Order: sequence, then structure tokens, then C-alpha cells
Amino acid sequence: MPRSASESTQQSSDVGLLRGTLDLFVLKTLSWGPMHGLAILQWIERVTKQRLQIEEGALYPALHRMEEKGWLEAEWGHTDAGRRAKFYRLSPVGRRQLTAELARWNQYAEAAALILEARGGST
Amino acid sequence: MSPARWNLRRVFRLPSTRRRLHDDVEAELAFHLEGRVEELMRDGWTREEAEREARRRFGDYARIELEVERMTLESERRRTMRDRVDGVMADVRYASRSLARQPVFAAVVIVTLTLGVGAAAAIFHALDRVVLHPLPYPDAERIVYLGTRWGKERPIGAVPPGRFQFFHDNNRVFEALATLRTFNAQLGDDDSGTPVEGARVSEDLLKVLGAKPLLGRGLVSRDYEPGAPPVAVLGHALWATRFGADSGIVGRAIRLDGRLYSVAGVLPASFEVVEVQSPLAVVLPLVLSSSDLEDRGANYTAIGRLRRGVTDAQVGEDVASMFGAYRRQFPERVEKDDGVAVMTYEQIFAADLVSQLWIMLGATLFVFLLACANVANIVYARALTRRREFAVRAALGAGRSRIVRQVLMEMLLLGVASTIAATAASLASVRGLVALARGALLRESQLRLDPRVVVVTTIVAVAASLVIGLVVGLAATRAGYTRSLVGSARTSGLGGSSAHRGARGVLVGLESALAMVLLAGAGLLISSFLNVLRVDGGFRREGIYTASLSRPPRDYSNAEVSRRFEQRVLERLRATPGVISAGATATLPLRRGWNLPTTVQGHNDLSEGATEFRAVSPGYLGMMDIPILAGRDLAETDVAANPPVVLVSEAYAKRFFPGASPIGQRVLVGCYKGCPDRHPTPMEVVGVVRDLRDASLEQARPRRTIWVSWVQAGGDMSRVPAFVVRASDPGVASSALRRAIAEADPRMTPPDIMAMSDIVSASLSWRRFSMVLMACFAGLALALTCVGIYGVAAYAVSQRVQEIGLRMALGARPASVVALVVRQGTTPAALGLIVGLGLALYLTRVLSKLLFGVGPRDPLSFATVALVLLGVAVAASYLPARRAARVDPAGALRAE
Repeated sequence: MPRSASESTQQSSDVGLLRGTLDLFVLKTLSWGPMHGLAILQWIERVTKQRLQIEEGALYPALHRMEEKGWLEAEWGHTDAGRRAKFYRLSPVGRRQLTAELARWNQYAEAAALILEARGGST
Repeated sequence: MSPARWNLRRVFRLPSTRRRLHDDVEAELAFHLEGRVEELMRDGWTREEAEREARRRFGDYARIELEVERMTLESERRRTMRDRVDGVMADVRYASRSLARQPVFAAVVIVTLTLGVGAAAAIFHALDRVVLHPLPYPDAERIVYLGTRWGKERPIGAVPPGRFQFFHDNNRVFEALATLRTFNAQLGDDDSGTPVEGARVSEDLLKVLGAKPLLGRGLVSRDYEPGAPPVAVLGHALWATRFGADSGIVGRAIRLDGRLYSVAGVLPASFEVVEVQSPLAVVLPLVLSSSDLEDRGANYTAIGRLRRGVTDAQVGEDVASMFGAYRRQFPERVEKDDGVAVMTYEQIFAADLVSQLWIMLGATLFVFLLACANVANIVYARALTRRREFAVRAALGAGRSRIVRQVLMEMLLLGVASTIAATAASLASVRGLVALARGALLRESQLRLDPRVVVVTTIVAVAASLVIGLVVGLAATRAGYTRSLVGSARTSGLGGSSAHRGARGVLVGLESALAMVLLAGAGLLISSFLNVLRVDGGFRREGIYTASLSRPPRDYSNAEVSRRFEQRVLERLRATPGVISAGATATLPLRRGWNLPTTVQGHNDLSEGATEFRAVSPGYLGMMDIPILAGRDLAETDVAANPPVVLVSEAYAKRFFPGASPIGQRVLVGCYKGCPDRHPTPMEVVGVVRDLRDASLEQARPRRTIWVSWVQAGGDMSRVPAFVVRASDPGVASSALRRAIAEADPRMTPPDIMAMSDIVSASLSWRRFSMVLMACFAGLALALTCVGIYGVAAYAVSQRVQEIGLRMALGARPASVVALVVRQGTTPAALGLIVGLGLALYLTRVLSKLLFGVGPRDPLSFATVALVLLGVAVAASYLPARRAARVDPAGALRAE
């Protein structure tokens, strides 16, 4: 059954993973260098100390979508173990996108913090 | 993974198959799962457990695989499309840069194609409107006219009213059959009213045309019943101008010729009765009285809509059997050689125009082919100078198809540019066509820009460009063109270049042949025109000025009123200084005239159906320098009260009174083979008038004509005559005519004043139309051929500078070099000329009907145009020849 990429991303987002944040994580992860899909997940797991649950399969539609948008470039290559894998890397467009997304995320987080930390009844 | 790999961008992207895309997706996902399984197994999981866990963490594998695969396919499709568009855009950019580098080349090609296509488009345009879609009505191909055919003559588009009624009541093939009769009337109060032109129409006219009223209703059965309240339907123009497009007009009363009519409805703007030149102001019901039905002399337009699906054969059969029944029922209404015909619009109103337009379309086809040949020639020349560029591109890996594609793309751009220019040009020239054909049936409304014509123009121009591009591209890249890289263009192409010269020679020959045909056609039409101009109609043209009147006030139906008016005008004219003489006539020369049946009294067999009938004032013949050969002229005493007299033309006298003097004989006018049922007053022949060509200068022989005094003509032959003066000064003549008429009756609408020479000129408008068009086409052809010959000769000289230098170093004189180049330049043109001569001898037959005083194979015309063409060919190759003769032998040889 056909459905749009964004719809499926949203559906497969797990608890704690806000819409669009998977894209941001992937962009951020790839900013360290080219990786294949599994490596991206492993990197996120390592950094978050496995605190974030991600439906792993959802990564791939996201990767392909970002490739189509021109944020990522993909190329088949070989892992250190000599296995054929598809590597993704950030394109210049993707790098600009990452900067923009980060700024937006920070603004969001600050605003969210202001609300959550505000004390009632002021003004 | 070395970073350097990432710098290797995919320059050559291999097209991916669906299969490969599927495998890639599967491999990527499988790699993920496998990696996880290995990781888990390293943590101590068993293989089965690890696989299950990896699957669980992955989620819905099948769905994700499907989704990713779909996205991949989609993006691949988009990428291919983008690549293709990018490729085309790159070609377009390359082609436009390449054209921009040689703007003169581009301009010459565009102008040439525009002329070729534009000429054809303009004529096609006119033909389309006149022939293919003449009537602005739905299913117009079912609209036909009922007409009369006399013997073998061309049918006329009118029938006597009785015949219309019989066919209306008895036919089986018409869905509706209607008739109409135009009239002039005063709208509004009697004295201050405006004259308008209207028509009385029978019940089904709107049904025949398929037109719907804009407001209110059309005329319906009850409007035709005896004693019905009088109603009128207004024409759109009158409604808009006179009544301010008032939507509440329906039901209001208008006054026409003093009678009140209630407005039933308003016709749409598109309503157009083709045989009426000006838009109808008002439409009234037409009821045929029993005396109308018996009137055999009246001509009514009968227009019908055929039933859907009836064939021409069925129509012919039904009409023939009906005519048989009609003949049996009313034998006295049918004459010998009398018949009916069903005609289309174009057969009646545009037959001459249509055949001329077809001929002109044929001529534009020649111009078009010539333009194509010329463009091919120019493009070919350019392709040859670009052989090095092509060779370099080929060496860099561009295939032949790639290079041909580039030439094609350039031609496509030029073709599109030409289409735009040709559309504009045809639109502009359509105005010219109308001006040229003024007075003829080509109306402005028939010459709007039609989207279908634009589509056809585009297709033709672009297709021609592409064919030229393809042919030239393939020819210029024949085997061996890559050798141009080795050595100079000259040495590499010695053999090739003569082959190329041959190809271009063929093109020049083709151009000359086509030009020869067009020149021959133009030559014949021009000499025909000159022949017609030399025809003496037998009447004076110089110093003759005419004033035609239309729409006289209502009381002019009284013969006494109109006679008094004529007398008053003539008196005033004769009293005006500067006016040498003045007269009146019902029929101006070369204008549509009257004809009537005549019978020699007492000899019912000495009769004919259509004798030309001219009603003039006494003195008119003398003023027009028309001599009386025997007897006397009409006199002032030949008035209604005195016995009626008639003058007959030489031809009439010869036909009916051979070997005897007609003077004193009597003629029954308006009677065919005597008329037992009526008793017209016999008119006594008192004189014989010299034969004229006053129906048309081109008429083969003078028509049999009778001349009567205007005041004795009687009937409603003409309620008001045209006035004619002889004067030395046109200004004096026109102001005298204008003033005399206005003073004689201030209610009269201002006259239409024309010099006789302009009437002669206007009568030749058709001939001028075809002559000017053909001459334009021929001139265009000549110019294009000239350019073609020049181009080839100039190229040949530029290719042979060294050879010429060598010849001159060896002692050749400049004159012999000139002769050599001219000979070689002219030869293909001369060969083409001979072919064209043969073709022209065969083709000019189609012009036969348009020729006058010259045969379609007139040797003088053919010889003249052949010499002109040859002269142009020599002149066109003489310029490059002179350049060749100035070649400096030492310099040319050193350049080796």
C-alpha cells in the first residue's frame, strides 16, 4: 500500500522521538563522516547510551528521502571488514540543512524550557 | 573506505534497471540485518535468537523494503527525466550560442523561411475561410442554395418565388428551406428617419442557418398568418447603435416606412446572411402573395438546410423529380433549357475566388519549396565551413548522431523563430489581401487569425526545418568528414568538395526550375492584365465622373417623383460651370446591370431570355462617346406620355434583323417568345448603337443590348438613376454632383462618387489581385534564386583561390577567369531553367481561365522570363567572378 515517506516516518517514530528529529539525528551523525545505515544507528545508540528506542527500519526511508532531497549523497563501498555496504555522507546542502535544523531545534528547546520552567500566576 | 573515492563523482551514470534497483535495496537492508545478527551473536546470542531479535528491532521488513524500493524507483525516474531535459537544454544552449555567433546566417534563414511559410500561410488562411469554413453557422456544410441553371451556363443562386414555394412544400431532402428578399426603408419618422436595409424572410430562415435570437424570439408561424400584428426582429448592429443595446427593447414599437411594428427579438452579432454585404438592420416576415408566386421574372434567394445524412445523389434525385412534378403542374412557368441546381455557398459566391486561391496556394507551395531549397543551400554551406568543428567534436567522442542532432537543434530553433515571424507576417499580409481584393467577396470577417492556421503554419515550418536539418546534417557528415582534422580543409576536401558543390548545384538548379515556373505564371498574368487594360470598352473614360445613389426615400416608388428628381439634378448639373455635359443611367458601365427577355413583335421565335437592358437619359450616349450608327438618339421628347422607343445594339440588330434595317421594327420587352397572357406596349426601334463591352472589359463578344429612355423604362427598374457628368476637373465634377443632388432633394443620402477610370480599375480588381500576388511570388522566387546562385559561386571561388591563382600565374587573363566562374555558376541555374521551362509549359494550363489575350504557352512571355532568369543568374555569379579575377597570384600561391 503506497503511502508518503513522511507519514511512515512519523508512524515508525518511537517514544521520545519527535517528528523530524530522526532526520536531525542522522544529519548530525553524518556530520562526523560517511557511514552506512547500521553504523549510523550504532553511533546514535553509543552516544545516547541506548536510552533512545528507534524502530531501526524507519531509518532507511528517511535516508532515501534525504538522498532524494539532495541532503545526502550515497555510494556503494566496502566496510573495513570487506563487506559491500551503502555509505551515506552529508552534501553541502545537507550541511546547510543541519545548521538550520540545529538552530530551529535550539530555539524550540529554549522556548519549551521557558514554558516548562515558568511559574504560574505571574504578569 | 578511502576519502578519495568520494571525490570521484558519478560522471557517467549508467541507466539502472528495475531489477538492479531492487537488488540494491535488498542488499542494503540485508547488510543491516546481518550486521545486527553478528553483533548480537558476539554478545552471546544464538543465531536463531539473534536473527529474530534483529528482525524485531528492524520493524516491518516487508513494508519498509517496499517503501524504500518505491522511493528509489521514483527518484530514478525523476533523475532520468532530469538528465533528458538537461541534455535537451544543453543542446538548445549550444545551438543558440552557435547561432548567435553567426547572426547574419540565422537572420537570412529566418527571413527566407518566414517568407516561404508566411506566403503559404496567408493564402491558406484566405482559402480556409472562404472554402473550408465560409459560413459562421453550426453544421454549415449542410447549408445549400437552390438555384436556376440555364442550359450549360453556370447556375445562378436564385429562383422565382413560385418555384421556391413548390420546393418548400414538396421536397424530402431539406430539413428547412427559406427565402429572403432585401428592401430599403426609412426607420423612424418619415422626414427625419434614417434609411436602413432590411430583409423580408420566410418562416424558417433562422432554422436553416441554425441561428438563435439574442433577445426575445425569431419570427414564428403566427407572424405569417393573415392579419397578424406586424412584428420585426432587429439586427444586432442597429440594436446596438440606434437603441443603445437596450435589453428592454422587446415589445417596444418601431416605425418603418410609416408603419408601426412591435419588436419581437434581436438577432445575434454573428448573424450574417452571406449574400447581403452590409449587416441587416431589420427582419420582417415575408408572405408570398399569389401574384408573387406567378412572377417568373423575380429572383429570390432560396437557402436550405439539408437533412442530416442525405447524400448528394439523393439530393440530386429528389430535386430532379420535384422539378419534373413542377414542370407538369406549371408548364407555363418553365422555359426551354430551364433547370434547377443545388449549390454550395462557394459555388455561388466564391467560385472564381476559390479557383484563384487554389492556384495561388499552388504558387505559394513553389515559393515554399524554393525557400526550403535556399535554406538547405545556406545551411549546407555553413555545415561545410564547420567541418573542422564537427571533426573536433567527433574526435572528442561525439557520434555522428550527436552532430546531426546538433544541426537539427539549430534548425528547430530557426524553425520556431520563423513560425512566430510567419504568423505575424501572415496576419499582416491578410490585411493586404483584403485591400488588394477590395470589392470582391473576401470580407474582413473571413480573415481573422485562426488558431488552426497557426497550428498548420507551425507544423509546416518546424517540419521543413527539421527535414532540412536532417538531410544537411547527414550529408555534411558523410564518411570521411573526420579527415578534415588532417591537413587543411582544402586539401582534405578536393574530391569531397566537388561532391558538395554538386549537391549545392542541384539545389540551385531546383531553385531555378521553381522560379522559372513562377516567373512564367507571373509573366502570363502580367501580359493578360496589360491586354485587358488595352481593351476599349467602347465608352469614354477620361473626364467622366459618376454618382450612384442608394436608398431613395419611400415616395420614389412613384415614377413621377423620381422623374422630377432626375430632371432637377440634370438641370442643376448642366447649369454648373465646368460641367461639359450631364446624363443619367440606371446602369453604370462595368457594374451589375439588368437583363430582360425580349421578343421581336410578330416573331415569337425571334426571342431571347436575357437581353442587356440599359435605361439612360437622352444625351448620355453622346456624352459617353458611344456612336449611333443608324437612326436617331433618344430624345427629350421620349417621355412616358409619348410612344415608347428603343435603340438596339449592332449585335442585337445582326441577330434579329439580319440583312435588314431594324429601324421601325417593334420589340416586346419583358417577354420571352411573346407573352400571350400579358400585353406589354411594343417599343419601336429608332436607332442602332455601336456594340460595347460594358458588362466586363473581358467579355468575349459584345452582348446584345437594348437602350431605352430612362423615363420610359417604367416599373421599379430603378427608383433613382446614377448621374454622370463629363468635366475637365475632378473636383468640379464631384462638388457639382454632390450639390446638385443635395439641392434637388435634401433627404437623399450623399452619393457615392467615382471617376469612370476608377470604375474600370475596380472592375479589374480580381485580375489585379491574382497578378500582384503572382508577381510578388515570382519576385520572391527570383530574389531567393539569386541569393542561392551567388552563395554557391562565392563558395566555389573561396575554395579555389589557389587554383585560380595558379591559372593566373600561368597566364590566364582576368576576363577568362571571370568567364570560367560565371559559366560554372550559371550552368546549374541554366539546367534548372530548362527543367522549369518544361514544368511551366505543363503547369500554366491551370491559369487558362485567368488569362486574357494570351495563351498559356505564350512564347513571348516564356522567352522574356527565361531571359530575365538567365540574366539574374549571370549577374549573381558575376560578383564572385570579379573577386576571383582580382586574386593576387603570388599571394594565393604563397598561402599554400
